[in-house]
Amino acid sequence: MKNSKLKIWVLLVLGLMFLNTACEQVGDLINPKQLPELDQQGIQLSRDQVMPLDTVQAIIVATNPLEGPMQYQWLSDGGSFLAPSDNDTVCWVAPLSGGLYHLWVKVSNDDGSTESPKKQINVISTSEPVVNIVQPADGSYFVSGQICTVKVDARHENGISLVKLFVNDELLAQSDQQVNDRYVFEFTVTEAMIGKTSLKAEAQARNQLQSKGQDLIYIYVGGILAGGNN
Amino acid sequence: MRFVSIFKISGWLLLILFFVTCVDLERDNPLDPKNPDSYSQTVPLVEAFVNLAHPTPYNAWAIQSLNALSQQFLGKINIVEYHRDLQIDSVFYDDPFNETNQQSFFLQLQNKYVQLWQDVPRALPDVFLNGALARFSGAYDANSLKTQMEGAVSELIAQKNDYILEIEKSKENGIVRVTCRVARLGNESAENLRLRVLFVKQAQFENLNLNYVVQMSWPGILINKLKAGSYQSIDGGQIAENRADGVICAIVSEDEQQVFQSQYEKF
Repeated sequence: MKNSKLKIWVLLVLGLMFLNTACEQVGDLINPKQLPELDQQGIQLSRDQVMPLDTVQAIIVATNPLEGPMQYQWLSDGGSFLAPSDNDTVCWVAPLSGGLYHLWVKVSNDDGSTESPKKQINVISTSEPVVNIVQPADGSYFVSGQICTVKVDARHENGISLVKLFVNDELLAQSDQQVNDRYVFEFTVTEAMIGKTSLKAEAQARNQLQSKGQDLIYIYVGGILAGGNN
Repeated sequence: MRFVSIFKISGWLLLILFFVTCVDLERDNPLDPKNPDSYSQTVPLVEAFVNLAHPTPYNAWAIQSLNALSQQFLGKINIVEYHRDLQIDSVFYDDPFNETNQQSFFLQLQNKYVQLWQDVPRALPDVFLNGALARFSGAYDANSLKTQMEGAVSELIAQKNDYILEIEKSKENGIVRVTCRVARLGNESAENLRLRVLFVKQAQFENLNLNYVVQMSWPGILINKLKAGSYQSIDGGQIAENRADGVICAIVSEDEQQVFQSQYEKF
């Protein structure tokens, strides 16, 4: 008997909870939240390529469907904002380290908040690209007629626009095709390279400065005669 | 009577001492094949396939740099030169020290080695260390092979070896006959070996000293089995005295791709 009463009470409570939730959803449908509406262009930047510590002005145009003020919360994954940073217009200071950074804003009213899409800013790095010839090893030996495969790793905060390969200071090939920052070249070792031969890889940063980094190794090339017929 | 007793006792003592001494005599000479811990020093064999007829300097560089290597490891390595024609069926670039009847042996041997190092096709100069253990093709200056090879040669020389070779020569009527005694050291037997016999001669080419030009070679003589601590005497053949001034014998694997030990004997 007691058990039956308990079951009825439990069912009653659950029923009430369901009714409450359902009513809220129905209420939302009847009276939807009126969140701030952002301009389709999103955040407008004064510049999207800057030097370290440069200032960028960012503006968001938002309208409030409700009466009353809106709040602005500006966010970024690097750099800093100059005060005041709670208006529709803000000044962002680029960090010292170059690279790609993102800015976005949350605009709130009494009903909630709307978040803008992220806007990208390229902070130009003044550093040189890091270049490393990973193959062949320094001091490797080849013979004339052999194929030499050169693998170059090149990195920069702003990306790499081009990698050039020089053999004994003469441009042999260039490439902008990379997989995981690795550029691959192939060439046939010629008799002109017999002796100590330099291999230089030069990478150019993808920014206004076009700064260059390089790596230099030496290989040894031996002369051979083809081994003749049988 | 007393003197006889002392004499008898002394005799017995001497006899006992003699036996005790014989029992205690240890075979600890490292070069004694009967010593289970015996070993010898490795004498690496460097084999260079070269052609001096072509105007390019690579082969001369190879020989110059091998001469420098030989000086560095004087008496500790053996270096031989197989002078090859570039083309068998042509007179172009025929090497002046080439022995025509030996060409096929040289070529077969080089091919066997190249099989194991296919990144570079058969070439001249082409230098191999202890068979096909290491390959050094080409040359870029008069010191290049010395620079490239000295590390590997040092390592080999430092290794203990399970073979010892002794060459005996006998001269008669302008003919030199060679016998090679091969002993197996250590405590393990060896099977399926071959003895390579290379008759060599010194020569001069322009300003180049050719120290060990192979004049005649015996194809590997098969040694079926060599028990630990045993030795075999093998007839190494003969050559006219004026055709060679020394011989190099080498113990090699049955497929001739590995060289285990080598020995030089001047006539």
